[in-house]
Amino acid sequence: MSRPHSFPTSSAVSRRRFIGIGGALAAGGLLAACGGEEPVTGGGGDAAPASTLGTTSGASGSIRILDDNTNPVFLNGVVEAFQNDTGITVEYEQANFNDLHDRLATLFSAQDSSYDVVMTWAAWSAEFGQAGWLQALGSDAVPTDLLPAALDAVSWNGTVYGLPKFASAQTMFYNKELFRQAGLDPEAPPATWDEFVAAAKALTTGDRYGFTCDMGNTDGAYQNFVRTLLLNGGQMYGDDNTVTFNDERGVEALTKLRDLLTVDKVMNPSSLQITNASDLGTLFGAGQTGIVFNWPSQWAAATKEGAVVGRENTGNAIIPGISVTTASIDGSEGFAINQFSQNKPAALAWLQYVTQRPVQTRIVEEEGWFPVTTTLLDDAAITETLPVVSTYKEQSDFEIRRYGSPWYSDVTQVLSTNISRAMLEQATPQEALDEAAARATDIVERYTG
Amino acid sequence: MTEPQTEPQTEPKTLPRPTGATPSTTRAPRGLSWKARRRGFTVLHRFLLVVAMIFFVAPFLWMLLYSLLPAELLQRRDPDLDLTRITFSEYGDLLTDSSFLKPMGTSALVALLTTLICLALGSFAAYGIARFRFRGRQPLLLAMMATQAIPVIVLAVPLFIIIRGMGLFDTPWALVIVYTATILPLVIWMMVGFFEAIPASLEKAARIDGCNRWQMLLRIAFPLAATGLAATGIFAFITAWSDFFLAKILTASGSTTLPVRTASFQGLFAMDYTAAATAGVITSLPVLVLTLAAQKWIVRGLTEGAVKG
Repeated sequence: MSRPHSFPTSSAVSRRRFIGIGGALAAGGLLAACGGEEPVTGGGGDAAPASTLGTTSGASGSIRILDDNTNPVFLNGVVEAFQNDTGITVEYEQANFNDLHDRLATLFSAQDSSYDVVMTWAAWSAEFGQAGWLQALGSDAVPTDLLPAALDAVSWNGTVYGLPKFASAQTMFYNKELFRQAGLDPEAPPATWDEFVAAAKALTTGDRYGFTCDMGNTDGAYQNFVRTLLLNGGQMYGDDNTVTFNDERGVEALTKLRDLLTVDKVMNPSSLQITNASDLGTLFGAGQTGIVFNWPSQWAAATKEGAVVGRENTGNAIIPGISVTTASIDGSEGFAINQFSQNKPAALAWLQYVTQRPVQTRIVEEEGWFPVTTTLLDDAAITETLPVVSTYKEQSDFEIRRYGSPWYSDVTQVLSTNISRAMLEQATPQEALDEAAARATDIVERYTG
Repeated sequence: MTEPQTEPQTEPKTLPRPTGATPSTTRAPRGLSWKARRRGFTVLHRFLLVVAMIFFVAPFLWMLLYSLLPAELLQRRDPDLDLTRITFSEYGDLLTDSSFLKPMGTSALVALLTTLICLALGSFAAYGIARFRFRGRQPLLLAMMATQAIPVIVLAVPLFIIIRGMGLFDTPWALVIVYTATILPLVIWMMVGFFEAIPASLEKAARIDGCNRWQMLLRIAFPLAATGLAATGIFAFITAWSDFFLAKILTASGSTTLPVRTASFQGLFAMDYTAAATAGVITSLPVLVLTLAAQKWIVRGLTEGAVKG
């Protein structure tokens, strides 16, 4: 997920963190004073929720859902079908993703039960889950065949706080026609980092760069670094959330990422200004770059009517690894149940309904996202509908991470600021990552006590 | 009202200056005439003004260009400013789109009501504070200013709980109440300065002529404080019109305001640059028009309030 933001800053206390902590304290205080329906935990430490929600029969009544506006499919029939199938009345509302965090934090802090179901993703599942604002699910409420990366997006610290609505990860897209023009085999995409750099060099001409990415905002810089880190076998955190991204693998990963821009000169300098996946997709679809690592929506952008590249010239493969075969970054989204909901059984019925075949098939076919279960990922009919699914299937055999955590937003800001410094050669990769690691360590300690 | 003091219009007679000599300062370069020095400062001053103007105006102009030209022209490595391709189609689309017009109406309603209420309550309160001496007058003024030091984000949850409790969540009235509560202290503070700037002797004279307190207020004080009222009103309108955070927290789809609607053009995976820029221009137009139309009042009003308050 590429969340548009202004260019990274190094502010120690972000608005998001501020409202999160303030809200957690307020909720904790109110809960302590008034007593809750169920015991919940405050905004710190590793405390797990005291009770979980399991599947119950005969869910009924009505629910309100607050979603982001990524999936028009819900408004276009899914909500209606759910109501018809279950008899549960649904009031479904979409809001802009960028507004949702603060709205949700306020609602939760006030113990508001207006919405029974809310949209979530890796960072919010951790942040809101740890604050005790999301209802933990019991094992019998969670489908057994969920993809690990998709499940990870709705979990934190071993507790499942929701169910995914779609899976997403970045894969490699390349322009087959440009490969041919550069003397490269369009049916043999680069499989290693060295091959990727060589191909990008061959694809770079006087008016076009071989590779482009979206590092123009906080999350974009973070994603591009974390993906390269994983490709080099590194990890963001070790045991007990120890910061490890500045180890040898991390420094090498950032060096390789920077070298694409400064040494190999195959990375479009605009990459440092591109702030979202759509612009990246448009650039690739217009044939203005040879290779991108992008979300599944890239397929639709490159093959839609009017796109220069087109279906026959859009190549898709797993991302070439540096010291591992491949790895990717996760962008899955899901739904979670508001801890203060008055109708949790009906809310759970919605969560489970969305993971089932009819809804998932529509999400894949109409919106181009990946299905959330291995069963559907193995379904030939779905692969035929969306060729990128087969690549995702291959990609999902390897590591796909997002490192969602309660401190995600803060660490992302710190890290992306320093990644930008390294990319602009204002600091060496080692200096930049050491600085980021020192600050990230402080941040993590603040959260974990 | 007396005019604020500005630079002396004539040179001090006590400092005779030989022809061609510099004033008695050791910092001036030797041999540089006073006139040349002054001209140099003028040039530097104007140059800095131009730089500042470019700094502030350039982003708006870029936004204007984005609203008028196809985005693909501007997103090229070398942006193509082909003015023959200017189109107002996005303005037409937005201004006929009910999902944009409704927030526009909500913003206008909220900003106007807030302004009227703040001016009505604020001017009377300010007059009372300015003209009557009572125990706790200064602490009251300070307390009102102190409220402005509280970050609005701290108030978000309590405000949400109050508004929800009143059954006003997702209504324009929620915003009118909250904006009035947050803007009114500053309005009072500003207006106190304006009323204090009006000589009390004028009101005494009016009283001698038979005016009662209300008549004095309506016929003497308010007309004389008109520039201040205008400046304060514009300030209140712009603050209410531009707010994003509280509108985001206290409303949902039912009472979205223009800034929140404008922000929605920036999505999770994509951004509609042309629509966002067009909405940005439309959102800033009332502020721009108001400011330009009432520029003299604002400068005069704020200066008077600042100097004499």
